[in-house]
Amino acid sequence: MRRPRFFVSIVAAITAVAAVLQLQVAKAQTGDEPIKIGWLGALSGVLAPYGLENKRGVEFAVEAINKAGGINGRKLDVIYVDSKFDSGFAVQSIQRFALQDKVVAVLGDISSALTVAEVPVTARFGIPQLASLAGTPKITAMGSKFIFRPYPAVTLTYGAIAGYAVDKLKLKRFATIAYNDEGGLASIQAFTDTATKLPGVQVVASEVVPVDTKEFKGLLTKLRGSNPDALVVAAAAPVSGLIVRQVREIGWDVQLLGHGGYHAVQEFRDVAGPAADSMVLATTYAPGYYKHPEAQKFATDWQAAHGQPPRDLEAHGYDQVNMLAWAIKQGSPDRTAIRDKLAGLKDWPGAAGVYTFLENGDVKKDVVIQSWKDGKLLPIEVYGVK
Amino acid sequence: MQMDLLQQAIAGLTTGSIYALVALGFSLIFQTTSLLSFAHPQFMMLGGLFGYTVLARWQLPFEAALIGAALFCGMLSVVVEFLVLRPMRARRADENSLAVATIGLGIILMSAGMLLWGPYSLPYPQASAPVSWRLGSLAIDQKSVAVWISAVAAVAALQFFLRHTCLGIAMRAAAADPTTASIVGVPVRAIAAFSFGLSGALAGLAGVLIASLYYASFEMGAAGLKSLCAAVIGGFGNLPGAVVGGLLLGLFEAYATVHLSAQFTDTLIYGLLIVFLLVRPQGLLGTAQRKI
Repeated sequence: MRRPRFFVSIVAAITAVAAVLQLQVAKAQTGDEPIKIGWLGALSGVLAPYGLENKRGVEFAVEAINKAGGINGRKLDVIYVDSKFDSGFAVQSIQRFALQDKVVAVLGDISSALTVAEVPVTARFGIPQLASLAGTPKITAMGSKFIFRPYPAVTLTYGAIAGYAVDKLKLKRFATIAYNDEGGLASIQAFTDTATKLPGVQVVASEVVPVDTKEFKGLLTKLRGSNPDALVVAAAAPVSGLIVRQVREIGWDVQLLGHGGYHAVQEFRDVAGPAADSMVLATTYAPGYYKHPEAQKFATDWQAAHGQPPRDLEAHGYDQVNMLAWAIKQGSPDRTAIRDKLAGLKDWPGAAGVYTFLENGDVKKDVVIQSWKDGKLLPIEVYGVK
Repeated sequence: MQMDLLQQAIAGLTTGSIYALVALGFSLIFQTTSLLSFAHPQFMMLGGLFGYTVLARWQLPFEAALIGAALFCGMLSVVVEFLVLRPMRARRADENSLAVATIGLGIILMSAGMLLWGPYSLPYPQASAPVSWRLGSLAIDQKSVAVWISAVAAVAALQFFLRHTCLGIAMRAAAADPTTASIVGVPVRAIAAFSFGLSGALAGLAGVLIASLYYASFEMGAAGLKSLCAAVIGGFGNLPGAVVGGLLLGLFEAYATVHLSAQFTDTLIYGLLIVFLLVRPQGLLGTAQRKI
């Protein structure tokens, strides 16, 4: 006699759940519901500092937009998910964003490897994805029409530093040293491609080192023997800090060139010590160095709200949300409409520069040239990327 | 060009001394307890991190970091021997199971290092810019010289200790034949703990020296695999062999990096290891028929 009663209660439970779901679906269809956005990134683990930095920028932008009444009367609602450096989990999260949360766009990821796993999934569901930090060239080479990367890839900054070194520093002969990983190799490729197209410029020596190398003095001596005007370093901190320190330890007084993501970070300076001084970097942001009103306003607002100047990924996180808001405002909160608007984004003024999306989804924007001096970064100028 | 070759030799000697210091620990444990301890490089890593705390947090002099790290790692090593290896031996675990257990131990120690010190690279505070002696275009930095001297001094001291002191001879006896040794009154279990403590202390010293050259971090134990290569090339279990193997491997790596290919140096190093195992498995200074 128990079974029917049990059966009845199950049916009742299912009906109740179905009713609640129905209600929710009905609610979602009304016009003033928030517009949902999925955020994926590292909130734990080694990449957490980057994830948290980006998230702060995203939150700041969302707060400002919602305070001002949202987009066409609809507020933004960002669902933050820690992708946990697990590509399986990241892919599942996007599926949930797509099917259950019904997001209109995805922001993220921080890690290159995870983003590479995510791109085909957002493409399949037709959700526009704005990557936050992931730097590998692969991301925009996979043929997805839905991926955009507002954060400049290493190829952009290394191309820029090549142009700057030849144009402004009047250097002609370069030697390069790179990490044997995707970022290092792509960086040097971009540098070499840009530099060697310029008249009279030569890359006289190139070395690629395994990622666990710590003693570079022998190799640096060999590079010194090729007598270059400058040494281009394409390796992440802390190892690049060792390279730079050892350049000075063998008494080599050569101009050092690098990129913000690798060498504008404190970890690099800690390891390199005073040897980092006078190294010239192409960086993606310096507060107050982009002169257009949007960038100036962001820097002032952030300073007022947080009591300290904004950081690179905070500015880019802020821009991710705002370019998305811009795209929604131009058209409608529909995935394909947003994609089409983003694809046409050109000379868009943001907190971290003026953005134009290229056909593959990569960004073209000017870099800020900076240099280390007495333990601090010293912005030199905004340099136009051709 | 000649100067460049010398500069490369200096770089090779530095890397080699590091391999030698760690290889020495591998060989010491093996010679005194017949155990291949994969956890050894992780004690080196903890020594490097502990040295960071002594220097950067407590602001004590470098000597204090060396002594502190040696004591810390030595004691930790004894604790590990007592909690893990001794109970396993008591349950008649053979050398292979013990070696596998040390792989697990190494991973646990590495995670502990990451939990306690964070996933950061922690360079030691530098009082001044790096000091180098100059000889024309040749530069020799003082910290590297300190590491070379330490490697040679460590092997000399250990060799003297094992051959000419009562305790040292007892250690070797306990390793060669535990049963007979215990019959003649050698406290075999206490000796095993002491050997482990000694190798831990050596690892602690090595960790501080290595971190002073580069930086301390939870993943610095990764250098251990090449040190194991060095120990095998020199003759596994042979202490002077560990140093000779370490220095040779360091020089080989330096010249291979510059003159063959930096990108494929690791391939060449492990290739060399395989050649050695095929042609001269006992290593350079090892004796042909060693009981394992």
